[in-house]
Amino acid sequence: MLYHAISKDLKANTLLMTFVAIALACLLPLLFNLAPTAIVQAAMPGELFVPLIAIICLPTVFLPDQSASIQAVINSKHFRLPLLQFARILWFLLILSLLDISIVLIYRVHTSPVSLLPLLADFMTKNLLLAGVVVISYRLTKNIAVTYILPMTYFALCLGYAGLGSFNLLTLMHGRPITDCRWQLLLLLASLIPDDFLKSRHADHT
Amino acid sequence: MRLLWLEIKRLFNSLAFLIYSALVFAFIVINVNPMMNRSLAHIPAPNDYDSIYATDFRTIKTSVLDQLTTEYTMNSYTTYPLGFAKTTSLAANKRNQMRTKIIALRQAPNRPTLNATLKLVDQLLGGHSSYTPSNVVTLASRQMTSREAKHDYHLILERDKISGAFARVFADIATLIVGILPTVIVLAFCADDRRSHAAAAIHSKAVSRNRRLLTRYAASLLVLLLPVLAVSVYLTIQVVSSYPHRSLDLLAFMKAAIIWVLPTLMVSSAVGFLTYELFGNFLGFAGQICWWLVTMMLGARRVDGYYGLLLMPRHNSLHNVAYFYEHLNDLLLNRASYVLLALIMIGITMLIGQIKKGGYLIALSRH
Repeated sequence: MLYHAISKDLKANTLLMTFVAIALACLLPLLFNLAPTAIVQAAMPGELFVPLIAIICLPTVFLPDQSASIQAVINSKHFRLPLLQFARILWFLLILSLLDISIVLIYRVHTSPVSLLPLLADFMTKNLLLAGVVVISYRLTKNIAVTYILPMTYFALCLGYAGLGSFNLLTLMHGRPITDCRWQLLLLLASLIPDDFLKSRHADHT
Repeated sequence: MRLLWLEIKRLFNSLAFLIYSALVFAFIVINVNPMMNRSLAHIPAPNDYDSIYATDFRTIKTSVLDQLTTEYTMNSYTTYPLGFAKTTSLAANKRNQMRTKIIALRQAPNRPTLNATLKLVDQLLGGHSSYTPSNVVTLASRQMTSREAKHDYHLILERDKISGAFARVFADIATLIVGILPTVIVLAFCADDRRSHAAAAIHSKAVSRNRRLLTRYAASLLVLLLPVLAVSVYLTIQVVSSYPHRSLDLLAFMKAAIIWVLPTLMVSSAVGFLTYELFGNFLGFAGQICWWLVTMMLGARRVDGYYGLLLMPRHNSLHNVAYFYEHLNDLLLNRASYVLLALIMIGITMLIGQIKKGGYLIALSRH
């Protein structure tokens, strides 16, 4: 029953953006060198392009339920709206991860001299970090425009501003160590846990 | 006029605008501040002269040959499809052709012959390389000579009146952020009507669809430009306090905001209205983000002065002033073209609205 509801929801609400993501991914071979010889080249698709697809897709997770009446209808079922939103996020993370894995596999086929596993970990971290930024933006403001503009401004800042240190999204492209990913994941966890904690405390008191 | 005021109030009082303003303000200040901290009170020391792109035949020829020979030796050529750096290698037969072209370049006696051979080199690499007559100057970067540095400084004092030099950097950064964020704000603004079921009430009013659209567009421009104007006032005060006894152009930042930044804002806002009318969802943001990234990547190849057809013209340098004044007409033409494009987009939005209202699409689909 739940599986049926989730699959129906995914079909209705994520299909269009999934096609958009795949269409954009088709540009990868045209824009980037898929037999890179240096880490900076190798990092470009996963640090620059896939995160952009993430910024386009992930906020749409919250779009279908903008109307209060739809939220009420969904919450009247035996499952809750956050569960559906979580499933949609997981779906997009799966699509983005598959994109990252495909890029790394193509590098492997072309016998690229770059170490591929750390590169894949770096790519995945970017998706998780952006998913975290999108979710937190929406949880804090419940505003769809903010859910788009916060990650977008963060991305724009990462492109040109060198002062973000370990929290720059373009870790390898800017010649930073891959250990920065740990800090990025830590930031993601740190910003997610207090939110849930506060929510449950609030629920306990009411 | 009352409708305009109501739309302005609605946009101005939204949380999205508040956060948009904070982000725009922070983004511009963070990126412009390193430049603001540089002093234009004195001519730079010889070691600190800025770099410029050489335009003389000999320097360009030498730079091209150096770069091409290195890439030929490594058989790794960098091309820039849509601005993204991509390395390509040549097969054995094409390498032989490239060797012939390098010899021809070495023997080129003048610029037209050099340009003609460069076109063949670019074709051999599949296009989008640095070896086109227009891109080739990016390979010939060199430090300014003492005479050029003095002329540059003279222009900063006399024509820019110091503040103009900072205003160019401000406009460069501001266009980057207003090239993307307003699209989302406008899309959310349009979606709000559907979300709050206000569309039926709005359509019952005695205001035509076109007038409502134009009013909304004007309101979005007025409100979304406000944070940019606020930063321009803040930066003007900063320049005045840093150069108290100098002759300054106090309107330089305002002029940059209106002439340089506003056309980009007009386009990104118009994209929001047009794509919402077309698709009725946030899909337009995907298109705008692609346009934005391509422009960013194309501009990134020459950040200290590149106007051309870019939605976000680049001039991220306090110097290179001679280039700016030599190409000022190109920049103004670029800005005027984008104003026109934005107005055309709004015109198309009106047309689509009329078609939808008339039910022509439904009528056509039934035949």
